Amino acid sequence: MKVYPYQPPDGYYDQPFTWVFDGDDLTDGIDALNRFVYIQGGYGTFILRRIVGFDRVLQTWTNTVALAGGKFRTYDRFGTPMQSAPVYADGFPTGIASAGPSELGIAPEEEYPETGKIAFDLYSVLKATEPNTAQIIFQGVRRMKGKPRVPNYNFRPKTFMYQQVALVGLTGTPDIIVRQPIQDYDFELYEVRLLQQVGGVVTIQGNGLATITFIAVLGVAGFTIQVLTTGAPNLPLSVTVVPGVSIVVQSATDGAGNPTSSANELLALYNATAAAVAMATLVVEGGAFPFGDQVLPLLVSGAAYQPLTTPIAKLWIRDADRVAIASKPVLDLYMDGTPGSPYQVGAIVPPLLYPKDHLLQIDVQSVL
Amino acid sequence: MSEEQRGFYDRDFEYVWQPPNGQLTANQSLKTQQAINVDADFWCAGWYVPVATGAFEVLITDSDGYQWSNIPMNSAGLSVNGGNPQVLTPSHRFPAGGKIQIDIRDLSGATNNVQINFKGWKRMNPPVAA
Repeated sequence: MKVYPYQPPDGYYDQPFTWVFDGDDLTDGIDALNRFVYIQGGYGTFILRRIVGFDRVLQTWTNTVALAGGKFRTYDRFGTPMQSAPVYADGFPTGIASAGPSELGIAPEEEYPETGKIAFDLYSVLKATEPNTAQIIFQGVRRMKGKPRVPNYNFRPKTFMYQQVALVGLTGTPDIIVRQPIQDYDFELYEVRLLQQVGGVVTIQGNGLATITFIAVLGVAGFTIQVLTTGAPNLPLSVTVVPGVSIVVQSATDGAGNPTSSANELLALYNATAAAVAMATLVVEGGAFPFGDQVLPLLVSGAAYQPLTTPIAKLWIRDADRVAIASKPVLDLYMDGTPGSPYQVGAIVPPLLYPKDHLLQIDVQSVL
Repeated sequence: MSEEQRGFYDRDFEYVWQPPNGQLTANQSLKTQQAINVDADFWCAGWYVPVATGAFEVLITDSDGYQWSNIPMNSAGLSVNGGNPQVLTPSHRFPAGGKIQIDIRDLSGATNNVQINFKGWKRMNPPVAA
């Protein structure tokens, strides 16, 4: 038997793509029928291979109440159901028998034409407790006419991993744009893995103020950070450290006890204080401005990195031409291949090529 | 194609690396290597960390000085299961008599039992008939 590797038809190429349905405006406790994601014109035919997230918009099945639990049903491009009956959605194992999948593989793949739609019904909506995370994604490839971007030289691939850090603030803070320059050689992105460091960052910001961020050094045990701006008259700028216990910042004050130090001045003094630098790194934005206060001591720690188990952000990956590979930012859990994460699927299929001297850009949007 | 026709044959093999005494001391930084046997090239198809009592970061470099990552990798992102290792695509060649350079640093602040396994195959020349 001869086996042929999968490839698109002659004259076409595939790009990874995800159509996103955000269900934050769904109403809990009722059905949401005839929902759909529209396949916009210009994006090519969409080949669906994976669906994730029904468990984040539907009631979890439970064996304590007969036939209780949210269900879904999806439809193909003709509007024909893809299941003989609605299917129970489920969350992750909680010690009782799992009633259904929280992610679906579509085999064989299902094709949806441009200007068509991916239709589905939801029965017994119950949005995930974390706000802004009730999301269903339809993952696959968009099939485009033409030739893919491929290196025009003989090449020999070698494994490589780029790593980047993003400081994710609270919901409403500006999106973080992570840019990784591609150095030395072209790079093919195969997989994304995400880690989090919980409780390792303190950010202090405000209108008209600089943003100062303390990042605990990895491995450092818990300590407190306190930032004082007002105080007694004519105080000098100071950084007082009790190693392993606390860092207290006091802004310089004028004759009336009002703060006079800028964030840049604080940064210079902080970086000259070895005991403080050993506990946390200080990052400043808008350093010419004064900084805000944190009167109540905040506990931080250089806890070890760990896999994501609850959502932190939505990610919008862009290809080498800065074109997004999803219709909207995608929940981080759905695209995380880290062992120990809920889905352990972070594969980019087919891989994305980033030529040398291009940027790998990911827009990070907080859901905290 | 038979092994004779290919001119080599592959045999499953796994290099197992541990620090001296099987553990890193608290916050220890170690530059060390895993020697590759002289009997065959080793093609590494994947790697994993079956044992680690605490967090660490590691940078792998091959015999040509090629690094596997731009900065050391945190252990939390590495596979821990031999049945589900971090797959290298494509597999990575380490020549016979070469080495896997391992730069490792404990992040846990305590004694850290660590083992790192490199799974793949030895590519051997067929035995010569007497």
